[in-house]
Amino acid sequence: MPSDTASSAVERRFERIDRLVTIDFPRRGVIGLLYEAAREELGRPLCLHAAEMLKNGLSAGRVVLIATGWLDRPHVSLSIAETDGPPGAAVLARALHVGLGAIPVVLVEEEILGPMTSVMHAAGLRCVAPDEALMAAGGSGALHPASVIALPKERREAERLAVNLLDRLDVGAFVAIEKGGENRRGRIRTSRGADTTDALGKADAVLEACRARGVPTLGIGDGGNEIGMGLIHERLAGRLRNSIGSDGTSDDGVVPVNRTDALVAATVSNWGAYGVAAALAMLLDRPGVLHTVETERRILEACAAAGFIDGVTGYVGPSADGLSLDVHLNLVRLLRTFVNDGVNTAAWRNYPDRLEKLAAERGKDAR
Amino acid sequence: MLAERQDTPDLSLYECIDRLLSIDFPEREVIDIAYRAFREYYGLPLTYLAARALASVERGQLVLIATGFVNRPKVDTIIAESDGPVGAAVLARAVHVGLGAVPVLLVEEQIIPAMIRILHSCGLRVLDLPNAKKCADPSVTMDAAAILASPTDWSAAEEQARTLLHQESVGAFIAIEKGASNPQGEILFSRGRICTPTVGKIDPLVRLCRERGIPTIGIGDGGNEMGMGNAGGILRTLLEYGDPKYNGGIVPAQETDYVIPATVSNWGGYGLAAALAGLLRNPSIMHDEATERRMLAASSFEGLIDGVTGTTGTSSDGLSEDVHAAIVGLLRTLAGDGLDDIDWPGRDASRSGDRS
Repeated sequence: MPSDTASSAVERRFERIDRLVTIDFPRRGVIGLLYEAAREELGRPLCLHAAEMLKNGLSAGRVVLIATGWLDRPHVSLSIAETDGPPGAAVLARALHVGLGAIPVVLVEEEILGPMTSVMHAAGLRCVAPDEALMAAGGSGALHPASVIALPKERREAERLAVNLLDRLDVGAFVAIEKGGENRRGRIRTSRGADTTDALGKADAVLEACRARGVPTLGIGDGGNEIGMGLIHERLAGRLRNSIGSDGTSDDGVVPVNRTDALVAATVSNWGAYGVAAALAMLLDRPGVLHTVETERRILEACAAAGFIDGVTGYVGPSADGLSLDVHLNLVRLLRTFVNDGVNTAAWRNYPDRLEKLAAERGKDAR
Repeated sequence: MLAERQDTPDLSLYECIDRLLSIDFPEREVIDIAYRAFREYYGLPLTYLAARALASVERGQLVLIATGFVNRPKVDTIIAESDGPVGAAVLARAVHVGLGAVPVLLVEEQIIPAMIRILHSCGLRVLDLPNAKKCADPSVTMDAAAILASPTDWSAAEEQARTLLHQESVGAFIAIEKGASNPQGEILFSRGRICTPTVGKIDPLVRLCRERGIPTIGIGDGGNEMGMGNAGGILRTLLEYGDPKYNGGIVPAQETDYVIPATVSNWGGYGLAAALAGLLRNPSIMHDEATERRMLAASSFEGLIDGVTGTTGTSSDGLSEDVHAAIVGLLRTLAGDGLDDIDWPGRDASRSGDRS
């Protein structure tokens, strides 16, 4: 078989993940544009591209930095954040730990350190300080460690943290999930165009430091204003709502400017992270790398218990982006078919010649 | 661009439904080819076109729904599969709830007991046709369907079709996972083996419906079912077993007006129900996960098999019960159930906030 045919057969298998996580269930009307732009830019299935990058960058004991968290009612309180982002971060952290032995260090605003920690625990990872996580990874007793640390809102402080982390830890990859990115003017905007720079941790500082040192980077988003979308800035300018600022250019629009090496655009940012976890599970041929429906339920319920709100409805509850718990559970259920859970693909390969084949084998045995 | 949108209906719902139905979860490697070919030919979402045709059915009219695949004939002709009858029951429920139509199922005689139990599991009482017709009147408060045996004999099938169309007011015809004759007069399994003698013959009925302008819809997943011959038989050159060297090729000669290719034929039925729910803005037209599980259990109790694995469990087409329930749940979401107060920019610009 020619190698390009073989690679396209592989890509078709992974393409299914992209197709599932980009169905526009909430009918937001944005994901089609984002996905097509990202797909044109990268030229292959997005979750596959991201998972391969993470697989190449990470190995046992190496650290993955995962930035998430969106404080999305800052006019009320900085302690209010949304349920889209943290579950994706926890699921991907779990997948990278289970699949590659990586040590996840999650970066969120200090106001949501406690809630984020609860969500990580729901995913099965025990949160300790970064140095303790490193020790736990090398120790004898079984522990699956992770760390949740504060990402400063002040740009300079965030830059200092980034240098400190990269000096101290063996960082193999950087991921941002549903994390506001800075535009050319250094402003972070909501998808509606509102300036929310002051409320958010400055993940761009960490992204820039990682890129300067050659650490592979991935952004996951669903609206066009998140870190990762810088990769398709030009493709979105003028086409995405609020991509053009008051000066008539995209410099102060919603689309960030910093580029990442990989980008996943999904209907819900969490789903993008789940898709990357599914792709990694497929690449490693290890179904356990992708979380289960039960874990998904536990994670979303932990979000509600920790006070995260659904960013669309504004209610505290196990929903995300206006989609109820069941929708997320069903989505995870279908993703699990890609790791052969609940699907008998072997039967298709033989059907309906199966009886004859079985008969032939039986005949052989008899001889 | 916005002005254009106001003139043409928003079809994004049906795009979503089509997409969900056509992801190749079992890696059968047929659906990508079939969907792309038919979508290109018809130009619009396929569930939309079929639902639009179905929506023209008037209260009290019959909707004929043919299904059933006897698929281990070498072992015993009583063996049939669960893919098809469950989707047919969902469509029967949908046209009754949504349109006040009288659903009439056409299956091979030996499948009738299973069809009865599946229809009962989805809320429709099986009655004789004259009594089922009484239930189109909403004041009767009775959800019902009728079943007719579908003859495997060609002339008996032709006779039944003529009689039905002469005596009854038929609003639409749907075939779901129903074998149909290729240009050589043979009905084939999806990999080219002949199964002509065991299949209830619906080709004459489709031909007569089309002659009378009654909309016809075909739903399939393998390329050998009624509907898969559409677009001038384009699948003949695209599918491996479409090649005439396999007993004339699996692709049927008779075309239907509309077609829904799906990863699993049942899902095509669910997708059509969801599209009708969207079109008529009535989510209750789409069945729910509890009903789905009940129907799969009924299939198992009645001895219908998973056509891929050959077991009488609650799986269908090699996919576990949970997978089917998840598809149903997500289709319900698309049909408008479980979306809490969606408030994205562009959907309702009057509201604002600091959302991400």
